[in-house]
Amino acid sequence: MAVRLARIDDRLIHGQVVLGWVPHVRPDRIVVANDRVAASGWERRFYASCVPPEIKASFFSVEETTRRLQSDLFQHETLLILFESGRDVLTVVDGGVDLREVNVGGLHFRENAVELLPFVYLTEEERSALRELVKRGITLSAQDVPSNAACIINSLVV
Amino acid sequence: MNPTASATKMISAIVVTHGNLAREFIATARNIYGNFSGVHSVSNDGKTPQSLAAELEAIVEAGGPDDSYVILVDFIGGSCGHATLAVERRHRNVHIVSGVNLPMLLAFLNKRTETNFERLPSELASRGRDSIHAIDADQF
Repeated sequence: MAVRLARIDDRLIHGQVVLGWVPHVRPDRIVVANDRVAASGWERRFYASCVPPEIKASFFSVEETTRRLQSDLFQHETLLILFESGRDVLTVVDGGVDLREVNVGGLHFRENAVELLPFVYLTEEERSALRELVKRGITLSAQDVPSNAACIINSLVV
Repeated sequence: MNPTASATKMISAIVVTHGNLAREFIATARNIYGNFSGVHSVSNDGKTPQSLAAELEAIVEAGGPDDSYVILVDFIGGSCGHATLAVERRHRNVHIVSGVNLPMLLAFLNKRTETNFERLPSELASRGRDSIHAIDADQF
């Protein structure tokens, strides 16, 4: 199992991921780690319909993602994992999954969120989840698409 | 029966796109068709799929019980498509057509008063699709 990209993006699978990141990291499989989508038939079908046919897609709850990433199931595959929030990444990391770098690709405006970058708005809850990821030695790289520059935001969330 | 009841039924459109396309589609359609009302534009810029769905829902819920809405979305993948589907699933008076283009929007303006709401989406899809050709200049 090789995680080519772990990304926080509240849009999950969409154009920037399919047209930008997939050709860049060439994953065998996209894993959507999200409790709501895992439990919603129409959302699973919707997101699956956005994935190029040569790439597999899986939709797991955050807890199931934690388990599957540590089983042998994806041993021979490269993965692109999508999370809706830093909190979900933290759950997976605290569950034992080893991630070194997390791409912060899209956290859009919500009530009480403060702008960090045009595509990164942080609520206090989100900031504290990202801060915990930094404490665990993870590099947070803000980058919407591969053709734009990455910005390391570790020092901005602590 | 109240003879004005059917006259007050209105089919509106909501054009939903990435960036400023929706706004510009409507502005351009006004240049061609003349002035009209009942067509809204919504952009996904800076929004989560959930906040985008909430914006669409506010438009739908501001209408009367007899009003219906055709959402013309740029493409069905991505946040525009996700929000659009979420709203359609919660409202019986909402239908979706994807692949919005100018001929499709102009067809909506021409057909909305004369076409049944249930049939309108497939007619608009046909019109949009039929406007797309690889042009062989020798034909002309």
